[in-house]
Amino acid sequence: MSEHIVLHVNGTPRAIDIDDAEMPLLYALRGELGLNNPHFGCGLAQCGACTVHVNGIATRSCVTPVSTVVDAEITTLAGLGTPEHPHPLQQAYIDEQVPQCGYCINGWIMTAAALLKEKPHPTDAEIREGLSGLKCRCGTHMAILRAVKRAARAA
Amino acid sequence: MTDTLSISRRDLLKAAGALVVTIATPAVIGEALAQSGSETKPPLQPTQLDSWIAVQADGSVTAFFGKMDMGQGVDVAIGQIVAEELDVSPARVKVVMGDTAVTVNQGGASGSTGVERGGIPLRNAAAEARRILLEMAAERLKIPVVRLAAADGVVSGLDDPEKRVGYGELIGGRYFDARLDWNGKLGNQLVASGQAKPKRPDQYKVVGQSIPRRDVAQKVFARLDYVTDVKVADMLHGRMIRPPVAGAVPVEVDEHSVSEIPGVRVV
Repeated sequence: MSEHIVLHVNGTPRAIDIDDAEMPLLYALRGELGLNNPHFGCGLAQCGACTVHVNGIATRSCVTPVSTVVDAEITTLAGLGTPEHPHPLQQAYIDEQVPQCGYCINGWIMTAAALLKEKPHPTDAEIREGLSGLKCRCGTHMAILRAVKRAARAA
Repeated sequence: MTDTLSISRRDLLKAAGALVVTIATPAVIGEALAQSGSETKPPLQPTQLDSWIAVQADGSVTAFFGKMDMGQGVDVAIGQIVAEELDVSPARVKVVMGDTAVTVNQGGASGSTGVERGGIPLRNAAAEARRILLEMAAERLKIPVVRLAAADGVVSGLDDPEKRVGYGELIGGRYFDARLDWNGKLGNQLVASGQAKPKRPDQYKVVGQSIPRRDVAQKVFARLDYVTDVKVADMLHGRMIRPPVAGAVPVEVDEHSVSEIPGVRVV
């Protein structure tokens, strides 16, 4: 039994047919809409690789039922900024040469972007607390902290 | 040279015999000087310089690296090593990796061996390529190798800098067809080297610089695909079932336990 829904992704309405209202938003983004970001990491909201913004709030799309975000503005990393108009965090990531493999990058940048929107000049402790639920197996954490602070200075 | 040789017997017979031959002969010699090296790429063996280094017609360099970069910047470092030994700008070195059809088996990407081990044959091969290119330039410019200098892919006379020739003019698009010594090993232990001695570290200009990586911006703007993003026709998705204890082996598969999943196939 298929249902027709419209998702608002990166400013564009995208219609899809879904069989299961409980299907994770991540599957709709990757499987139905062909967006290769965000990534599937753990599928259990424990790593953050699937993070998107839902109405500006950093959200783990792997555990978010697609039916709950039908009227929401969904923003992925690809919609956060472009090479021509980068988000300050994206520019700071380049300046600090942060990622290694980059598989987890959606989680860190999207979570930090939401954090900076709420607290434009966070303390070190607030940055660490705000990013505490994310995983990076490459161990780029110190470079991430430098980039977030650089972005906060630039904003 | 190809054009000259492609004149068919019939064309020759149609033309005025001896006159054509006397005109064509100097042209053949000139072309032969212009085009050193071989037209055919030798087989992909560690013993072949062409397995590691190629000079393109525009003078840019391709390095064939038999390991992988996964964001460590190994490709940038390998490009710097090759640029250093060949005396070309690092921006003009392209590093090909992850394609087993065109790269020698240098082993896996693990244990921080990418530069330490993987760089050795590339460094030696680039040094050997430079040695051969300088020999070609010496012949072309009629200047002994010891009175030549190479900078950014151009060889010029130390005493007469106006006498110069680019790597691309010397061998661009063709092959060195030169042999390297090989220790007979594949993977991390593979070592290949030519007659040339690589530079001493105190001579380095490019190696040691911190050059930005090429993949960072692509990752930051979500424009780089990962293996999990690859989709092919009729692709099935596999599911790893891990045993509850170490060392366990499967005894049997209960296909009925998954038979209700739409489209499921046991392979």
